[in-house]
Formats: sequence, structure tokens, C-alpha cells
Amino acid sequence: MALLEKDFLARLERLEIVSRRIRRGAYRGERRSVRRGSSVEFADHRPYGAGDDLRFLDWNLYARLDRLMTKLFYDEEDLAVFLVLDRSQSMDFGTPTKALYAKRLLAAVGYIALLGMNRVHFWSPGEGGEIEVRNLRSSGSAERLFDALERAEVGGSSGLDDPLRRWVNTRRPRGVLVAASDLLHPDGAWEHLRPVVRGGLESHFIRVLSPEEEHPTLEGDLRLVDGETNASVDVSVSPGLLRRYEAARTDYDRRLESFCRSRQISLMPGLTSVPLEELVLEILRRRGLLR
Amino acid sequence: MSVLFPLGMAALAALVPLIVLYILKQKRVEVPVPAAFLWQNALEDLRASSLFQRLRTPLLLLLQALAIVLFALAAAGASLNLDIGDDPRRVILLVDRSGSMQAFDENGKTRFEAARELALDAVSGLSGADEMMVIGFDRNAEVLSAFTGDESTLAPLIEGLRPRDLPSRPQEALRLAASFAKASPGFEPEVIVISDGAVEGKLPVLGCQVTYARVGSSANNAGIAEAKLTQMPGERPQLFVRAENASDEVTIRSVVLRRDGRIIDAREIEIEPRGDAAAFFELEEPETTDLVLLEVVLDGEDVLPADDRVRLVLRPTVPRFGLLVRDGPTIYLDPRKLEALHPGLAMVEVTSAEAATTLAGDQAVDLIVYDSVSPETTPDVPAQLYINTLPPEGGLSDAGVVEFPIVIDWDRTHPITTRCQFDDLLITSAMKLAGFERSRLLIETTDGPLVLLTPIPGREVVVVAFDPSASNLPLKLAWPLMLANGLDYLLSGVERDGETPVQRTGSPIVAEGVGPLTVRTPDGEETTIEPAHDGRAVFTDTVRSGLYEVSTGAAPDPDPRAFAMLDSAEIAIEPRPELVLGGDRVEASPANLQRNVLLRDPLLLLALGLLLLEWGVWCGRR
Repeated sequence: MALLEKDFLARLERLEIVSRRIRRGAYRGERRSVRRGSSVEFADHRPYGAGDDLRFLDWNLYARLDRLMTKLFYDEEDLAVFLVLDRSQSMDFGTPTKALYAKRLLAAVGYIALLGMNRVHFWSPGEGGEIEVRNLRSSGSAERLFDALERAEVGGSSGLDDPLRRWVNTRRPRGVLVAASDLLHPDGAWEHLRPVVRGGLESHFIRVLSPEEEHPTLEGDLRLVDGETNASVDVSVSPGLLRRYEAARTDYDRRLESFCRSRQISLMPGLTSVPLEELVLEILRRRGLLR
Repeated sequence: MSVLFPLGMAALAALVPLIVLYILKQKRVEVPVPAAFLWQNALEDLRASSLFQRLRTPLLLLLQALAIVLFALAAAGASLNLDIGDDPRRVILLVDRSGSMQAFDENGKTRFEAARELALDAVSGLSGADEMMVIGFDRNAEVLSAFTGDESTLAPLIEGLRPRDLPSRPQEALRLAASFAKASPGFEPEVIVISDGAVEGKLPVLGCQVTYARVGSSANNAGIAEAKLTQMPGERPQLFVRAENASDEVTIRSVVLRRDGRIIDAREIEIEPRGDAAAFFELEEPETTDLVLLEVVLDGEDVLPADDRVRLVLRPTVPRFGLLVRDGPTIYLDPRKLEALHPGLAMVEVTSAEAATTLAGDQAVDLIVYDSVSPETTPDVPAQLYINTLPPEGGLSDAGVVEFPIVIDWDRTHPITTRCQFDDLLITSAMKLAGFERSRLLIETTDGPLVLLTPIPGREVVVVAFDPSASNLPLKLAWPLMLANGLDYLLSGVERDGETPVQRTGSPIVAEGVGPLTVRTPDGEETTIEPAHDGRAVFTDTVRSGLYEVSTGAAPDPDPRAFAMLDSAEIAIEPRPELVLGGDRVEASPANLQRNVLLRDPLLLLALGLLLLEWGVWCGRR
């Protein structure tokens, strides 16, 4: 398996996706649903009605209260996990590239979700068209997920902005959204995250950045070319300019974090210099996406 | 602003590659970045925050271009004209090129090199319709250029000036300058004298603005002021060397005598401050009749080496020829006895008429003795003795007769009267002389001089103003002693053309009736001079100390002649604080003759500062 090593996959088997709220899934799963069902976990009683399965009559209660009460159990349903990959040109940066790091990250999260019998959907907009894989369940589907991730080539100017809005409006996803993106947009990426702020969707954005973006090592007289927009900026790199750049970046980050915090969007750092194992096994667990 | 060397502006061509490189440099290396908008924000923020940053990119180019322009101006000798006067100036530049200007006391440079720089400064100070004339002076004055405002004519001329081993006599140059200044209507005449002020004699009044640009700083010099080589037939040659010390400290030097390059003798002399000391050498008599080349060196260090070395040529002695002129017999003067008193002397007794014939002929006469006979004109004979008669020149006159004059004093130090006793001299009658103020008195009586030296240019003249037969002098020992001393004294200074062991620089070399004259100078330059219509060929350019090789059509083998400066005024090299021009005192002005301030150094400094600033800006951008 190219994206993730076997040892790492083995360590992922002990994890599961955490949902802050229980979501109603389409299929039975291993996750307790709000709908009463047939799991072994007791939920409540209700008065017996004609047609109720006699197996669920609480005979002990009848003996004590002389009333027929039917036991209700939590129905175990699956959790919809939506994996979203930003493969715009800006993700093709750094060593390793942010795109590769993001693919490996989503592969790990998806693998964990599949092991938890969750429904996993993968969606990635891009220049060559959207890549979408839906309704993956069980670890046997992991291969399909990984194939889809590997096929997702970086390129073009298409970010998550308009495609994300269209996708949300079309699919109306409910569940847990895990997106890997650098969230860099000239207009401010937060402006394009509004569609995911909706009921039924718990959004986690893992912001994949390379160390060179945080602390550029450029020097001299350069023409900086934006891979997505082809816009260029002529700069003579100086300590003063670097300080200004960091200030601009910090300001951008601050506004993004502020938006996400106010919209209950979980924003997590994914610096490519941090080993993926550390990100998945420690940081994402600490931030509550996994346990 | 003006430029001295317009060709230097060619450095502006460096602007072309600079601009080309700048344009090429604008092709920046393209670097992909994930979010150029962040850089754009940073850049806009930076630009908005600093006016300097907005100017930064063209600023580097501007600074570099400006530095190139400044370099070009410096190379072109840009100067700023500070002259705000209305009338154009006529500058008469007098440059001292005498021997003392060779002193090395201008920070390793000679005074003359410093003077040349000052002269060039003065040239660069010309502006507008200003004109300049350059006169070089030593013992003579030479107008090197007529009035011109063309710096390209004046500058090479001044750069080509060289100092000479000649004394400094600026009088002629100053008179020339005064006459040129008067002949400059419509101009503001100015005379600039660039010199160390070590000049001799009174200087004339100029009547115009005079600037004395002084060069030199030291008086630390000692030099040979006199070198006299005498030899009598049958005697060993004697060399007398006198050295002078111009400094304020006692100096101990060695006088080294070399013969044909080998040291043959040396004397150590101690010279008092501003005093002199002598060294005496007695040489071996030459074994052959060949010439002997001698060299006297004042060993030791001072700032002027040019006066520390004198070459001499020792020649075989030539018998002297003398005439005893009298029209009647006497008992106290016998030609044979005179010959016995001075070996090598051949005396012939003649009448005054025969004397005139002999003097008009080709026979070279070294000594003439007039005994109670007065010539009509002073003969062209180097040594002359007048007994009981007076020379036609010299200012002496017979004011009557003195009866029994009493000797009151005589000069015991003079070579003629030394070791002689005249206290019991009895004279019945003597001439009462008048007009002896300029004469040197050897024997004085109560009624005036009895024996004296009369100054007549080019001649040594001794006058005995009484008839020895009318005294007891011929009976006394003092008579032959005085005669012998007198003959030695008179004949020791007699040198025929070419016989002089050493001549002063500037003296001519004359060849008469022997065809073309060829002279090879100590610098190796050879000059041939064709005789003039009177048959004389004269070489006057003996401006360097050393040996000159002289050959003529009649004597093609080179004959060495020695020349040396031998001038006390040039040894006393202490720069004078002022020039006294008649009654006017001209103090030395600061050595700055630049009316046009040469901007080379400030421009170079400014250009360097700009480059440093450019470097700083460039580093700030990194």
C-alpha cells in the first residue's frame, strides 16, 4: 500500500472517529443511533401496543407494576464520514508536498472510519473533474478509497470554494466532514466555508501547510508566481519584507481561526514537517476528531 | 565648473553596461509560491509604510549611475571656479629651477616637484579669458611660453620643466615679469613666484600683485662651496676644498677625494652652524702628462645631494708667459730674477710700444708688469702688476705726491704681504691715491694706501703706488718675498681656456677658430655647434654638474671639462619666509594657487560614499 504503511495501519485499528453528536445514518452500523432499534443497549420503555414484538416485553416490570411495557433499545447505525481533499495547485508545494500529506492524512482517517463500519464518502474537486467515491463501508473498501486518493492529481486553480458550495447544496451531507486543505484563498478561505456551516454536518478542517510557507527561506530579487492564479509579484526579499509576510500570514490565520471558532468548525493544523503518525495518533486525538 | 582632461568623461560610457545590466537584472528568477497574495499584501504594506522603499528599486540604479558620473568627473579633472572677479587675469608664473630646488624636503619629493605641482594648480586656476606666461629662472630667465589661456599648452610645458645645477638669480626674471605686467592693458596682472626664496642679491620692485608660493621646509644641508686645484711647475698639485653648513647644527662630514673612481684621500671636517670649514689635499705629482680626473665628495646625508659632489680635471702644467714693460732701465726688477721667483714663468722685457704689438698678436700673455709705464687701455691679461703707475680702469687716480709717507699698517693675512715686514720701510715720495674705496689695501700709510688690489673684472690687478728705487724696499727681504708672493698670487688664478680644473655651471664652453664644437653633456646628450661668422662656437648649456666631453674640428678627441654649482647661495637652502622686492615685502602665501578648486578628491570620496550607501541599501534588501 503506497499511501500508508502496514505498521501504521495496524496502529490505526485501535482508533475510531468521534462525533460530537450522534448522526442518523442510512445503514445499520456500530454506532448508536437516535432511532430506537434492536441493539442490546437499553434506551427506554414505552407502553405495549398491539403488534409490538413480545420479545421486548419487560416481564419484570409487568410483575412489579402489573403493566405491559415494551423495552426500547438504541438502534445501532453507521456514521457518514465525508472526506474532502483540496487538490488545487497550491497543494503541490513543499517537501513532501502538501497534497501527498493530505492524501495520506485522509487515507488514515478514512481507514479508521471504515474500520468503524462508518459510511465513508470521498470527494475532491479539481481541474480534471470531481472525484467522488460514495458509500464505502468496512475495511474491505479501504482499497477503493486509497485508489481514489492516489488518483487525485494536483492541478488547476479550482479550490474548495464554489465546488464545495455546489457539493453541499447537492448532496446535503450529514455526518462528519473531514477536509484537508491549505485554506489559502486570495479572498479569504473563510468566505467559502459558509456552506459547511449547516445543521447535521460536523466539520473538521485540517489545514495542511508546509514549513516554507510559515517561514520562507527565499532571498534575492525574485518573481513569485502563484500556481493557481498565475499572478506574479516581484519582490526583493529582505528581512523587512519577510517580517511583513509573516505579519500578513498571521493576520490571515487569525481571521480564519476566528471564523471557524465562531461557526463551530474545527480547524486543526497539519504542518507537513510533523510526522503523519504524530498528527493522527496524537494531535487529532487531542483535538477530538479521533479517540 | 570646468574639466582639465575632457577625455576622462569617456568614463561615462560605463553607464551603458550599467543600464543594460540593470535591465537584464530585472529578469527575476521565477519562484512558484502557494499564495502570492500574501506576498502581495506584505509588499503593499511595506511600500505603504516607507517612502524610501518606494524609491528603492530605482534608487540603486540612480546611486550607481551617480557614482559613475562622479568618477567620470574626477577622471576628467573637474574643477570649480572660485574666481568672482570681473577682469581677466594675466598671470606671469616664475618657476625657480635652480640647484636648491633639488632638495628632497617635500615629503619625499623635491622642491621642484612640489613647485611643478603648484604651477599646474595655477594653470588649472585659469578661467575664462585668463592668460598665463611661464618663465623659468635660475641664473638667467627664460620665457617658456607667451601669454596663453590654453591649459593643454601650459600643462605639458610645465610638466616638462627640469631643475638645473645653477644658482638662483631671479632679478632678470622679475624685471621681465614687471615689463610684461605693464604691457598688459585690460588685464589684471599677477606675478606668481614659485621658489624656495634661496636667492642672492637685491630684487627689483614689480609694481603689481605678487604672490610668493614658497616650497621647501628644511635647512639641513651642507655643500661644497669652493674647490680650488692649483699646481706650479715642479710642485705637487694642491687641492683646497671649502664646505659650508646651512643648518643650525654642527655637522661632521667627510671630504673624500677620488682619483679615477678610487678613493685616494679623505678628511673629516666639522662645520659650525651656518659656517664653513676647509680641507686641504696635497696630491702626488702626475707621473704622466695625461689628464687626471678627480672627484671630491662631501660624504654624508642631507636634503640636497646636488652640491655634495665636484668633479675636477687635473692637467699638466703649462709654462706662463709674462711681459715686463718699461721704457727705461731699473735696478730692482730683473726678468730673470722674476723667473727665479716663480718657476715655470718666462718673462720678456719690452718697451710699451713692443708690449702693444705683443698683446695684439697670438701669444697668450699671462702676466704683465708695468714699471713706471702706464698703458692707454687695460690689457686683456689676467694678472697685472702696476709699479709706480696706475691702471687706466679701476677708478684709481693720482691725486698728487706724498713725501715720506709712514707705514702704519699692512695686511698680514693676505697671501701677497704675508710674512713680510714693512715697519721700517722708508719712502721718499709716493703717489697720493684717490678712488681706492673699492680696493683692498695691503699696505697703508698715514697718507693713504701704498700697495693695493684693485678690482677690475676678469683680472687680478696689484698696484704699488711708489717707485721702489725711491725707497729702501729693494734692500729689504720684504721685497723679494712680496714679489714672490705676488707672482704666486697673481698667477695662481691664471687659467687659460680649458685649463680650469672645474668651472661653475652656466659658464660657456668656447671654441675659437677650431671648427665645429661638439659637446657631450653629463646626461649623454651630444650637441654640435657650428662656428659663427667670427669663428667662435659657444656652448652655453652647461646646466648640470659633471664632466662635459668637448671635441672640436681641430681636436676631435674628447676633452673633459668639469662643471659644478659651487654656489654658497644654493647651499643655504633654508626657505625664506618672504621675498623683499625693493621695499616691498611679499610674505610666503599658503601653497594653494588653485582658483579653480580641483574637485577630484571630493568627487572620489563622494562616489565612494555613494557606493557604500548603495551597498548598504542592497544589503538592507537582502
